[in-house]
Amino acid sequence: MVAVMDIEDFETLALAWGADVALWPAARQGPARDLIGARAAEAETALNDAGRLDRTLRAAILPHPSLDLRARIIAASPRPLERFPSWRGWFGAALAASCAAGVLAGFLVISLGVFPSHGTLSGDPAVEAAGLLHASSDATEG
Amino acid sequence: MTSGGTEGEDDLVVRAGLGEASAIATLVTRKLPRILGLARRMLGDPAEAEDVAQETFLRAWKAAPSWRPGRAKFDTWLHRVALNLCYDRLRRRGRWVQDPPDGPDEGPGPDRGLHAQDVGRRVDRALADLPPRQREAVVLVHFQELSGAEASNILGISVEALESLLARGRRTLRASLADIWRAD
Repeated sequence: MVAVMDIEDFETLALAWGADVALWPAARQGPARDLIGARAAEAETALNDAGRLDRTLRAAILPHPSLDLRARIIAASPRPLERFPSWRGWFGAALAASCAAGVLAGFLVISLGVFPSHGTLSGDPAVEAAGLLHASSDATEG
Repeated sequence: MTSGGTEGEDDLVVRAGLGEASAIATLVTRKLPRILGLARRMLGDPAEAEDVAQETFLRAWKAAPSWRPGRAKFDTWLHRVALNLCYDRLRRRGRWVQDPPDGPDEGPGPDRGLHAQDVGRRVDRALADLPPRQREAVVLVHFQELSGAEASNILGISVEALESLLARGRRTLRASLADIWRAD
């Protein structure tokens, strides 16, 4: 079925989309061209009016970006260093956290004296038999 | 209608995401005037328009490293981001229509000609006076030169609904700028 366009539709389309029929929605262009062929004078008037409004709107001031704005935007752009895959960041963070946890644990062990003493474990035959306690104690006292 | 220099744009965005300086500069050169123009026409305030343009690019830089070529058109995506930022600011103002910043409109006047700057100011004022949805439609299609399909996609409406907004908006503009276009 061929869509038929009347002059009122054509005038509305020219008003909406402007004077260049090639820029109208594709489905409207064929019927519009048919109408231009059939009612040339009225169609031309509608397109001329639309064209004059198009030109008036094009006269609107187009703001030019300042150099400062451009510089700020470029300064915030991605840096090549940011290309590192995210796993490296996570790996680094995990390593740092492990080191920090180790240091903290060591500090706690030393400052709170949580190493077992002779007295506390001397009754444990398994430990005594292994000789671990004596070896450790000698090392720290010597 | 063209949306301006889209050839190879996906590649540019990907390279910008990798921090390649020339791709970043090219994207800014191509897109900044368009985005600034959009924000300026939507907000009517040069300083706010600059803020929106800057924020739009910050979001673009954030998105660029994970940009997937072919999934979306960068220009359309950028327009949608900028338009949403404009909406946020307009909502914060508590009203959609902002008075143009340059003082009262004196009109063409009987004894002075209309210079290009006067015409520009008149057009800006007439645009600012349009209802917001009509203004968005006119700005996207007739100033940003987006196709009907692109503009309707950004606005989340059908092409027919866009057409209706355009016709109403331009009818109002035609009436308020009649002294200019009739003299053409």
